[in-house]
Amino acid sequence: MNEIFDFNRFGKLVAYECGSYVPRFTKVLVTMACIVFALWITTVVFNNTIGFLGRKSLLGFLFGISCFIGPFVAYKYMNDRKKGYAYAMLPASTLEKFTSMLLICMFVLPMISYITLVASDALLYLVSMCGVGGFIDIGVYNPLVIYFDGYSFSISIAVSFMASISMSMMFNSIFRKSKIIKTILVYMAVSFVSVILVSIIAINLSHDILYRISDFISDFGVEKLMNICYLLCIAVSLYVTYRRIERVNY
Amino acid sequence: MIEIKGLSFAYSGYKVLDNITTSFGPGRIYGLLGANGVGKSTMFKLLCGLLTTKQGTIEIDGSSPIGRKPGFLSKIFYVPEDFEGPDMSIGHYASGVAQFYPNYDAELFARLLSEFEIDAERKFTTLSLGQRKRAILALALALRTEYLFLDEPTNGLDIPSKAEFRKMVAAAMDEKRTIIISTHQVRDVENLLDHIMILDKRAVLLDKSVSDIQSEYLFDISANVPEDALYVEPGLGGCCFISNNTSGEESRVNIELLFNYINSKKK
Repeated sequence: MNEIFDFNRFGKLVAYECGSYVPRFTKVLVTMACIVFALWITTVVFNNTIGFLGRKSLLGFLFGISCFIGPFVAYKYMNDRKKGYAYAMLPASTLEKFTSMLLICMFVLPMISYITLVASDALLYLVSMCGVGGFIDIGVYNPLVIYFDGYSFSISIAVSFMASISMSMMFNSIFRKSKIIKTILVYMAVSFVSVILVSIIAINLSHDILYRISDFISDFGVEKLMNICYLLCIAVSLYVTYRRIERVNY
Repeated sequence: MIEIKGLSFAYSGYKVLDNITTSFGPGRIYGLLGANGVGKSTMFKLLCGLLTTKQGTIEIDGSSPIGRKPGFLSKIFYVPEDFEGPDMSIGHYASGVAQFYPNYDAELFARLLSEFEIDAERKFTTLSLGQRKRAILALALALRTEYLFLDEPTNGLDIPSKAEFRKMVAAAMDEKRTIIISTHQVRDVENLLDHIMILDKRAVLLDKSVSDIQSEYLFDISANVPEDALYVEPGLGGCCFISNNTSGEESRVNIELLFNYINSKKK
């Protein structure tokens, strides 16, 4: 028996997890569709129109939220002291479990969210033809779609979404209870500490050095620097997630 | 074969198991007994790799539970005391899980469910504790793993289910399988066990086959307690007692009495 990776076993695992864990995401999808529907209701009730930007911002926001909470919902019990033992004891290797989780959180759940959001929006447009000017999409996971307003597919956006998902996977594997709240608190704490640190550094550094740093960032490219940070986040998050799947105690 | 050598484990500094050395052979049903908090469930979790050993070693057929390798996991199944079950139907869960276990017997599972009067279409979340327990026990037996660990399996079962459980475990037993049952409801499993292990934090107090216990001790109930009785407990029809078996007569092991006797010796 291949103890590290077996394609047959991996296929069974993905099928099992798609059939068992992905349905937990249904409530999130229904909620998102309801929010899109509520937006349409407001346009009818208040006789408003809502342009591309408004709709796209809402869909983009909902898509971001669904990507963020996806791992927490689908793999809610993976490290639960009572319910998590079944996940740990499923006869598949850590690499198979990790790869399956990655596939589901990084591709399956976002794809389902994407389809739900775009389909809800398109359906309302078809039904109502009210207050909207055409089909839109969110544009993160489908670079092949022709965009109505020139919103182009950006690697940065995709990498930032992947970083968000991988960090959700990591925090989901670290925290056992109140996972989403604790993760938001961690993000807030990290942001707060970062602002304080940057402020302290900025106050204590001479203008000359600050200009040099600014020039360096400009020369290097802000987007490139951001992408490197995101890639580092992804690498660290995925490594921690793998180790947690391998070692978590129940 | 399960071999445990010098096993110690502590939760945040509180020692639960201390230097335990023992083994579990194939073809036997072991009763793992002990007072609350001596580490019976912890022992199961260590055997399954759900907890990591800090000191000592555990080997199951030469493999360590640490790392939870698929080959190792497909040989074992653990039914925890408070099994809650996932938010899905029993049939869906069973068919999903069973594909990872090479010896799974779908017909046996269907038969056991019907004997336990459980509908495979029902979701775990709609079942009572006893029904959930029956469903997972049916699955545990149908997976036909070489090692089966049952933590308080009769907790929550009604009287007919307890009888069914004994019948099913006895029927599922073969010379390759090892079943370890941890329980406080000793009367529920009294006739099932081949081997009794009484666990204490500091040591294994008793680790003997039922036949060895029978040849060593005599269990009886009488109004007149013999002078050489090792342990006596007042009962309804007289006094239950344990004495040394000098006559070679075989008596039915009263596990509760034995447990209390062994614990009294420790004190």
